[in-house]
Amino acid sequence: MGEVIVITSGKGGVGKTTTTANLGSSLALEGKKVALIDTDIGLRNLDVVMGLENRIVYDIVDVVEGKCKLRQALIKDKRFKELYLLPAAQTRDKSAVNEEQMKELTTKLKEEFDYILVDCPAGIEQGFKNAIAGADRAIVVTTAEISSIRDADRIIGLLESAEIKNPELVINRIRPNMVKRGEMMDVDDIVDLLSIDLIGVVPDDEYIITQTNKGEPVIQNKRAPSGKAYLEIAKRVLGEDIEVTIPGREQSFWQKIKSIFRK
Amino acid sequence: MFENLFKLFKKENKRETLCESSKDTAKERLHLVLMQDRANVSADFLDLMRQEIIEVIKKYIDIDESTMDVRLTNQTNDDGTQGAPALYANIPILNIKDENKKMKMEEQINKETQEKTKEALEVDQTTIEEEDKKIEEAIKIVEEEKNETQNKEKNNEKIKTQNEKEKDVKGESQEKEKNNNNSESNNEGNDKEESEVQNKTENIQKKIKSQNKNQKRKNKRE
Repeated sequence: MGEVIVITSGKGGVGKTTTTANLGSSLALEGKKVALIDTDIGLRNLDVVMGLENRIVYDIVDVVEGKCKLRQALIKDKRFKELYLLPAAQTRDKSAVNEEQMKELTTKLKEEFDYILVDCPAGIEQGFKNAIAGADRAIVVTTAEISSIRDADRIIGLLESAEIKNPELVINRIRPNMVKRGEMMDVDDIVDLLSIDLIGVVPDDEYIITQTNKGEPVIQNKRAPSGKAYLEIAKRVLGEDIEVTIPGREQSFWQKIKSIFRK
Repeated sequence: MFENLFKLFKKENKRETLCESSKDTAKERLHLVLMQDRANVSADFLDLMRQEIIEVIKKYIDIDESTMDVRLTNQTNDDGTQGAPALYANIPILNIKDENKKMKMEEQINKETQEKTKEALEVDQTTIEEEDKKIEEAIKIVEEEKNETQNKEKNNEKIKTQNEKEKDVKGESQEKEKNNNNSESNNEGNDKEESEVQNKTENIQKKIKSQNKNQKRKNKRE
C-alpha cells in the first residue's frame, strides 16, 4: 500500500511545484515507485517543470470522466524508471474534479505506487479541498516572507480540521546571508511561529531557475545546494532520522574534524 | 591599535544589526497576525472591544480617549522567551468621578423606578390580553361539550322528546341558560358532566365580568 502526500502552501509562488518535482525525483532515485499528480487544473505547470509537456495525451479530468484508463494518462519520466506524472487539464477549471473522485483516484494509485505526491493549487477553495481529499500526509511549503508564513498557518489549521495530522514543514528560499544580517526570519523563528515539525530547509540558489529552464529537476545538478536539500528531505520522508541541515549553519571543514574527534 | 579598531568595527556592526533588523519587526507583526487569525477574529475586533471598554470605564472615571492604548502583546517569561498573549491597555485617567457618581446613581435610581412603573403597566395590559384569550378558549370548550351532550341526547329518545318540549317552551333563550336547562333535564348518569359544564359556564361569566372591569381600567388609563 502506498502513501499519499499532499504538497501545499496556501500562497502561490512559494515553490510547491518545484518541491513536488524534486521530492518525487529524489524518491524515485531512492528506488521507490512514485506518481506525481498535478491538481492545479487550469494552471498546470508540473509538466513543464518536469520537462514532460510534449508527452501529454490524456489528463486527470479525462481519467475522472472515464475517457481513458488511468494507465493511459500516466506519463513516464525521461530520467527515472519508476517515476510517473498524472498531468492536470489546462482547459478546464477546479470544479471538473470533486473530492470523491480524488479519493477514488488516489486509492487506485496506492495499489501500484509507493508514494503519490499531490501538487496542490494555491488558495483554500475547491482545488485545495480536492487535493487534500485523499491525502494521508501533508508537506507545507513556506518561504521566510510574512505573507507566505501567514498563509501556511491558515493551511495548517485547515489540514488539521480535515484530519490530516502532523503536517511537515519545508522552508524554501532561505538566504543564509540575509539571515546572518538579521534581515530574514530565521528557521527557528518560523518553526516557532508555525509550531510543526521541520522536514527540510531549501536554500535559495540560481540552479533552481537554470534547471527548471531546462526542464530538469535540480537534484540532477550535483553542485546545487538546493538539490542536496531535496535529497535530504526525501530521506526524511522515507523515515530516516537525519538532522535537518540549515543553510548558513553548515559546519566548516575544521569543525567537522573537531566533532569527529569529540565523539 | 589594530585590536581596538577591530573592536570598534565589531561594535558598530552589532549596533547596525540591532537597529536595522527587519526580521524582528516581521516576527512581531506575524505573531500578532497569526494570533488574530487563529482566534478567527477580524481586524475590527480590537476596535470594537476598545469602544466597549471605553463605555464601561466612562461610567466611573474620566479618561483621555485620544491617548488611550489597547493592543494585544506577548508576555515575556522570566527566561526571556515569549509567553502567553496578553491584552495590554494603557488608559490615562483625567478625573475620578466620586461626587458625580453619587449624583448619577440617584438619577439612575429615579430612571429605574420610572422604567419599572412603565414595565408594570405594560405587564398589566399583556395579562388582560391573555385573560381575554383564555375566556375565548373556555367558551369554545363549552360549546364543544354542548355538542357532545346533544349527541348523547340523540341516542336517548326519551330525553330527546323532553328536550324538544322544553326547547319549544323556552324558544330563543340565551345559549348559556339553554345549556343549564339541558343539564337539568338529563338523566342521573350524565349529572357529573352537566355539573362540570355548569361550573364552566359560571367561570366564564365571572371571567367576562373581570374582563369588563379590565376594559374599564383600560379606558380610565387612556
